[in-house]
Amino acid sequence: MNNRDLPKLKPWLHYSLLAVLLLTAWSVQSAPDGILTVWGISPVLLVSLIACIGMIYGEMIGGVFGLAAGLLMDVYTTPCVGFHIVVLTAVGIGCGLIIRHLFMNNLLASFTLILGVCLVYFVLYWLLFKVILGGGGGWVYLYRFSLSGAVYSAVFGGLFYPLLKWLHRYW
Amino acid sequence: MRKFFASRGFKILAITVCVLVAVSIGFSLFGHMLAPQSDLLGMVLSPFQTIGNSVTRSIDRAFTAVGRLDTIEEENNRLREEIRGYREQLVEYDRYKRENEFYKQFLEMKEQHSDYTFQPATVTARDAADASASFSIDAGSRDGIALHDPVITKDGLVGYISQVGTSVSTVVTVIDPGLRVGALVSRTRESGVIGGDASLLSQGVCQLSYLTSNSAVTVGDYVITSGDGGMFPSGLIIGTVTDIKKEQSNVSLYAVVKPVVDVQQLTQVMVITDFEGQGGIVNE
Repeated sequence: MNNRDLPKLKPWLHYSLLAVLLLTAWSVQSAPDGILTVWGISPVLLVSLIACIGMIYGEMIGGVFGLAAGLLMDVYTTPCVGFHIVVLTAVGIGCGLIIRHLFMNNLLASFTLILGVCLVYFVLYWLLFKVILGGGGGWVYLYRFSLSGAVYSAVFGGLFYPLLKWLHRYW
Repeated sequence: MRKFFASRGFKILAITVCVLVAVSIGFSLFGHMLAPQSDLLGMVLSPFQTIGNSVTRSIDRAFTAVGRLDTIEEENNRLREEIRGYREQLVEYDRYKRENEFYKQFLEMKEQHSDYTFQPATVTARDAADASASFSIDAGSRDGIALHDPVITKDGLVGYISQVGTSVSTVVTVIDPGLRVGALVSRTRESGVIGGDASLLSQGVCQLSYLTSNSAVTVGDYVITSGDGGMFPSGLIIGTVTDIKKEQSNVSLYAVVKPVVDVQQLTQVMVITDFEGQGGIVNE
């Protein structure tokens, strides 16, 4: 662990705050009213949140929170084949490693990375649930819902990143 | 990077992920059941999700109110004093009223269809990544719900149970592009196959395919379930025809059907756990 991985507050309290943020984001994104739904497109907040956690707290914490987020998301995914467990753990680890070895850890680089991660997530979701497992929808679903869903989800990364950065620096 | 992949933490994480995925695949694809870890989480988090939903609903209402600020401010000043003492009572009253209405409809349906066995349920969550409005309900196998059970409201068909857990189930709706169910046009008795289409998803409508080119179906006709295959009881209202178009092949027609139930705005549903003629399924 390097300095980037060490929060200032007691670790258990700090990570409890992250867990509360994770649960809140999960609760909002899966609310039946679709509070954030615009033109039938809903954001998947946990993808951008986990990407931000991976970038700011490092690959190990990112992976663990990714696993937790995946478990939560799989409860409401049909069929529940463990897709979110794999993808969100990989997002947490991947973003941590990419920021450590390839990118600068600033807002622009992180937003680019979040957008890329959201695109990959939505395309994989479409491929698995709508093509391979026969959910239907074809190309129309991909460009009408998946791509716009990815961009919409990435927008929330612009909120999560500064929030987590502040949390990491001052708490 | 190599150091991370060789670390003990990564190995534990990787093994955990592999085990969880293997269990999920085993239960979901072969048993059509929620994986035990998801089932357990669903049970534990269901009450929290209900609380979270009331909070998000309040926030949603607050945002809607901002759009009508002028009227609301005027009205609010006039009514504030009057309302203060009654606010809590009104909230309770509204809740009881909604529940009463729901159970009244539930009883009416029970009287109309004596062969149906119902299980009422509340919508708890939606899969944000899925645009076809599939959702989860707070009832599962312990409430007698089984795979492919029809889900309805008093207005008509909502969809069917696609996955069952102990206390949580997931529902695929009539606008889902993967759904294919036998249906009839009520007036002309013409049969077709109803299902969703990705290009129609954003409008919240579905389509009745395989109508003959000389079909007598017109806008405004009701589409009902045919009962073929034993997945749904016959005669459940699915929706009304809003448009008739030619299929790409130019051989047959299809009708655009607006479901009578707004699947995006549902809060409570009924699951038919048993009905006369329940049997095989059409598509899985």
